[in-house]
Amino acid sequence: MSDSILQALSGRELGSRPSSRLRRQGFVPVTIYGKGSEPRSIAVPARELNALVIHRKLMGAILEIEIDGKPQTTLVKDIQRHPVRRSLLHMDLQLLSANQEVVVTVTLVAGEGVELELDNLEVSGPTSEIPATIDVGPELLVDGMILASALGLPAKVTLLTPSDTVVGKEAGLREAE
Amino acid sequence: MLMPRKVKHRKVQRGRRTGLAKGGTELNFGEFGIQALEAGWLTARQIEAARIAMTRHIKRGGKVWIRVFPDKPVTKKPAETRMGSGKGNPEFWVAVVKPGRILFELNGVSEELARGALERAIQKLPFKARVVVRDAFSHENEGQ
Repeated sequence: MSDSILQALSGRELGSRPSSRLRRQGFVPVTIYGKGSEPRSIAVPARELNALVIHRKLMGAILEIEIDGKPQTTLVKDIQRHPVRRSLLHMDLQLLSANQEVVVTVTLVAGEGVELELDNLEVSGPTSEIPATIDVGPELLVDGMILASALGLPAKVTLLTPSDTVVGKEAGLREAE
Repeated sequence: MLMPRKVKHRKVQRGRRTGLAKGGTELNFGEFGIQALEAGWLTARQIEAARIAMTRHIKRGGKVWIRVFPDKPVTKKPAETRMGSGKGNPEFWVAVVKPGRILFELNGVSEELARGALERAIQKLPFKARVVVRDAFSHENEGQ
């Protein structure tokens, strides 16, 4: 599950001009939809969202979002960015239930002395069990390498990336080669 | 030089270059690339000059992708001709470029070498452009 909860504003105005106004006020227009509920238009603070984007891959990741005081678990389905400025213009989120099986990308976080070969892994499992990030620590090093199979995943979460994929190497090993 | 093999119409109107690029704004092939920051016409000659500048700098190894194609004919009347008597003859081919468009991509070389090569290629372009690098988080291929 995600570690931070985004506070969303509900009931935003639709259309390009109200959306532009919203962006100028520091929000990102978001559409949220899911099985059994009508699509809703909300807005998320751009500053908090950008802080997340810096540290992890957002596309296909799980986001915790609070709408009208009600926490919701969502999956990032689509992201639109400004072609030149690269700022976030719009996002599509899919509502998830706690036990729903999903396929998501989880960002890897390198520990001290580890150089990552992959930035994220694809995993599947129930929404509530999926971690926000996976730590790739130096204790997992075997012969200077870390394989995807060596990563500690929760019991109900399955790794979809091939298990023999090298996800990290000992830092400085590349220079020595 | 790049040009279409066959066209439906030999001469076309000049058109307008307003707005931003609609597609081709993400790095899809290489680790490094050139992104246009202004709108303009990029001629087949300029594309070729930029490609040569890049490949000469990287010497060997690496792969270059050209992400634009000059498919628009530009006509010109001969010098010292009176106005009238129809549209001029097609003289060269251009690619219409809008801000945000990725023009070239490069892979298989170090970042230092890639930046050097791409900066040299930018010198051959008729508008402002910048070097972009694929980044795991901020420049992921999102929304494609």
